[in-house]
Amino acid sequence: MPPALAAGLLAGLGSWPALAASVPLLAVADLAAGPPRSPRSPRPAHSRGAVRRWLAAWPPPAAERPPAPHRLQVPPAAAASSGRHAPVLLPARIARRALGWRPVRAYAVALLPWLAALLFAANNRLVPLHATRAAVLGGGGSCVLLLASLAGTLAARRPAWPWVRSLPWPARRRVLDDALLLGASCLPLLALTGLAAPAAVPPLAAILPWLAVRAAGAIRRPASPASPAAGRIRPSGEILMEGALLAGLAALLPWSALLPLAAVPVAVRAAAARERRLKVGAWMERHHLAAGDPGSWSGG
Amino acid sequence: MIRFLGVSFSYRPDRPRETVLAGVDLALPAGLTLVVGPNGCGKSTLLRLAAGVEPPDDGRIEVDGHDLWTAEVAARAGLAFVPEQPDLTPYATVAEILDLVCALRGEPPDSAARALAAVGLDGLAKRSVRELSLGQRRKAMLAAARIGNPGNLLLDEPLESLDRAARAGTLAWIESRHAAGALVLVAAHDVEPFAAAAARALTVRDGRCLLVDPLPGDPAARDRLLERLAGGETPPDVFRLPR
Repeated sequence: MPPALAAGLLAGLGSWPALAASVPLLAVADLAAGPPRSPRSPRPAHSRGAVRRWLAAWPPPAAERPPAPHRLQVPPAAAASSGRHAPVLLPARIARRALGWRPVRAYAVALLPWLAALLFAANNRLVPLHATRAAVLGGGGSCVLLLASLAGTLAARRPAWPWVRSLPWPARRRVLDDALLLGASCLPLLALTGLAAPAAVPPLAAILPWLAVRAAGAIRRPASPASPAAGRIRPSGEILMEGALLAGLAALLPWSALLPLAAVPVAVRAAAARERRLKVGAWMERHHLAAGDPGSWSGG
Repeated sequence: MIRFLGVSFSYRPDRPRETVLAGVDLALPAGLTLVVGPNGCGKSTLLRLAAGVEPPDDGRIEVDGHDLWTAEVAARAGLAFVPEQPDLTPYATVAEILDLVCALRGEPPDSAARALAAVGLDGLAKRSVRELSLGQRRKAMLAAARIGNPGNLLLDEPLESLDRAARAGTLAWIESRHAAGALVLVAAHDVEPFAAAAARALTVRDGRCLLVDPLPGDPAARDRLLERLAGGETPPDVFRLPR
């Protein structure tokens, strides 16, 4: 219990290093705790913790039966890349170059909710419905964390490009380009969740377009003219709040995921309107990192 | 034709005293219009509004009859903007940016190579903007403006930072577009290279646009007037208020 308590306290501190430090503590707590006890089935002597069992059983034998649908399992390693890349458009290439290697850290952090859901399902005897809910919550949390991180990085490192607004490239298309990139970035997390709990995929896939479009809109959050000294624009909070709410709702009421899916056109319109209203000349150095800002006089 | 219909704009709407344009009505036909005035009077902002870079707080802007913000593609299809600061993204090469312009304007990809050759940047296509000098960045912007021969050119200090040969080439290109019937809006402090071809002059004062149309036919009188306007004077006898 003390390691689990310490992990909870660390995670609650709100900083990424503390959150990262809480993960090994959580694993230690799991090793020490072992499987859940049941009054009708005494604890098996061979069982010393779910994580240890996973490690001992990994990799699974080829002829092993597929995991029970209500248990989250460590997915098999992804197939090696063939080395071929699909042709990508310039907006995606610009975004990828602006992000650099930061997505690696973003994915590492984003995997934490998924891992937490995995541990939760492994350490509790859950009915399939509850296991699916845990997977939706974990997978949704992962997607939201990833979107918030990528959107925050893009807002800081690839702010509005004023000149390109004079080209016949509509605001709606620019928003959709970003949303496509952000949404595609979440597909590996969706696949991980699906490998562990296939039933969790439909609600997650239904809320993902909305989240991606909202994240693309959050990148375009204007600087507040009333408080220009408020600091650098950070869209992460906006995405985290809305995304956590949606993921929680989708976990409890999977059908509710259809509502944001149906409302995606509204989100696209809102994000495009925000893109059009953006006063790119009002962006100042103190609002974002100068690096990558084509309008910056100290970056570029 | 570019039309401003009741256009108001401020970078900080919460500060009404800092309004750049207040209810401007303006119609700019084909031909060369010089935008002159002292630093900070609103010349560049006027061009950025006409180019669709900044959205107006109130009013509408039409380019060739298309609203700039409700018919984004149609209004911008025949429009090229060269800003004072060559804001090219550092995450793309010059060739990639020009390829994007070609794609958006529906031009074949070899238009980009021709435009780069025309401004003398054909050997630097694979470079990022980080690897270009200020003058080379401006040449890249001018190359982008050449793609597709747009009918509306918005040029903010187009000769700034250019070497002698590039200045001559840019002036020749502007003259050729002007002769072809394009609308050319040039904001410049150095008005001498454009004075002879200018059909009208425009300046911004206290949120209003003041138009001199036509400019005096006598070259000496024209030069004197343009110099006065560039210096910030507003001779009341020559102005026709556009609203």
